Amino acid sequence: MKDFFKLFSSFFRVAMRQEMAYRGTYIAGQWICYGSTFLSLYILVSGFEELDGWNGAEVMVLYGLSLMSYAVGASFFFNFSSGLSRRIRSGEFDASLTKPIHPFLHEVFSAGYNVGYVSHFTISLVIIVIALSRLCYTPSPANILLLVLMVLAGSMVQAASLIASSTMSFFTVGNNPVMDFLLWDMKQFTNYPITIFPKGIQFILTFLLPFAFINFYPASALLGKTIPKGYPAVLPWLSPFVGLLVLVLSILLWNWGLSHYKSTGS
Amino acid sequence: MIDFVGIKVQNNKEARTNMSFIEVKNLSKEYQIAISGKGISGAVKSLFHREYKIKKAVRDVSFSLEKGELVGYIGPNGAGKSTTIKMLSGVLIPTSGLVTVGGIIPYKDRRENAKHIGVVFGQRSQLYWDLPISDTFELYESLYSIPKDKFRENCAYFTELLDMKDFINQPVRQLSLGQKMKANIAIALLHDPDVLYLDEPTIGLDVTSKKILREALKNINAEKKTTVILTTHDMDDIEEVCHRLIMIDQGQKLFDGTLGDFRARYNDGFSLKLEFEGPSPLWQESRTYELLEQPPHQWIIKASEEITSKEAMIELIEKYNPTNIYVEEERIEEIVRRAYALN
Repeated sequence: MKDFFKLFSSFFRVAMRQEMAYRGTYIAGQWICYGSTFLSLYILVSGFEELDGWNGAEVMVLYGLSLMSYAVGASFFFNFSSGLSRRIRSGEFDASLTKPIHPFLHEVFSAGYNVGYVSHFTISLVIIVIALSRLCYTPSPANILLLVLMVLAGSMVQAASLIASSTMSFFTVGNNPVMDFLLWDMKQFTNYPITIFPKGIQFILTFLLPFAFINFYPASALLGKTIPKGYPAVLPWLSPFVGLLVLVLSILLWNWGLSHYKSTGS
Repeated sequence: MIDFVGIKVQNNKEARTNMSFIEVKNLSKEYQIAISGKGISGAVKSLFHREYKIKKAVRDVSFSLEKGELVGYIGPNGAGKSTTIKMLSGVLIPTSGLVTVGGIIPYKDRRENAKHIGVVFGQRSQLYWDLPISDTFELYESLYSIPKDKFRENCAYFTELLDMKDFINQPVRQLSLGQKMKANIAIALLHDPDVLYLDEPTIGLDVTSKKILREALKNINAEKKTTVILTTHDMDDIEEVCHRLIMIDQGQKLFDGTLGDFRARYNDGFSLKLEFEGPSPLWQESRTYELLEQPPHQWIIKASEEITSKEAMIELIEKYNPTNIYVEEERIEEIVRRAYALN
């Protein structure tokens, strides 16, 4: 474990130096882009009173959690996920199989930490802080700890979806539209409380593609909101465990893809 | 757990005494290639039902290597060279057959195997684009848990040997192809591996870089006792570096032996160059000689292997009276070309 952190910090230092070379302008651009998204959302939610029992500030928390968890998950896994297909095609991926650590770790480490997501993170932090203070959420240590835990839960689901989508690279060349739909378009649902959707969608987002654990259930735990009728009341509090579970499952899926690659050469 | 480890060590020891350092037996690798139909209807059909064709990349290849050997693995494009290297380095799982490297089965014990090997896959760089090589060196220090003093010693050794002093602190993106190849070789060797696999190390390099690389490989092999297997298209690599040659074509091994054996087996003669002061005389057809080219005032003649070069020179001088006569051993490149054509 000590070695793991030593190795991680070595790769991290390298990634930071590499990133800092030209990220300045990029980060400024991100601020403008997400800042305006937030502004339009803010205008939208302040325009109506309630969305299925969620007021404007609560929907902002929902949006903030989605963005923040994506920032955390993607800063570690976006480069890895989006680059895998190219690395397999060019043959660079083979080098990861000749290193004395697990290829998954080597791929994640060498893909680098994406500093660009610092902007997503700060924007989402601003959104969450504003929204929570409007809701008079007390910033007690216990509440802050809960918030951190719930952000981590969502981040693990986000990371898992990036890892799972990269697994397709072991089987097909180029992008897979089905996978893109499942992992990107389905995620659009997370901008709203899932209770506004039909029962089938609620079920899918909770048990099959558990994107509701990115922000809906964590936000329910933080704000004490109601969850779909008939679902166990403990579900929001299970978010961190669900996050960990899907993360582990996505890595197992990736490993399965890898073993396919090793025996077929893709 | 202790028992298990004990048994494993014993097995390895036993294996080491009976087997060569690298053992490849009846190794085969088949790929499934999806055949997609033509046009839109074909693409739609292939969504539901895919037809596959099996490509045998490596067929029933066997060889064994001792520690410290320097082997050239040659063959035309698509012969199965890279596939063999990938199975040796643990990247691919063989369809059938056996591979052991230092008693380890690479694909089963991939991580253990990785500690003892260094790999350079052609121009596919393992360097970080925006970083100087010195930073990548440090990364590999922690990746392979190289002891501090050994790391320092090897950094100095390879920087010197590969003449990297001038560019070690420059970002990789500013380096030339030759400089990058040198750096790739250095990082593959920092942890003192037992074996170095090189896939096309000299491809695209200029003459000087090629020369430095070849010299370096010979030095590394002599001083560090590193076993080296290199695949190449450049026969000068083989001629100048390798002790031994393994040739494959269409996945099958065609030849395995020394360079001398290779010449003896596939060489069928030598060539002579005759120069004339005035116009060249009239060529007389013969079974022993073949006129290959006739540039102005010159003949390039191929002699069959039935006669010695001495006999040929005497006969040709008497017959045509040239001003100069040169004997040339056939270039290894020509021999290889013919060897592929023969099989």
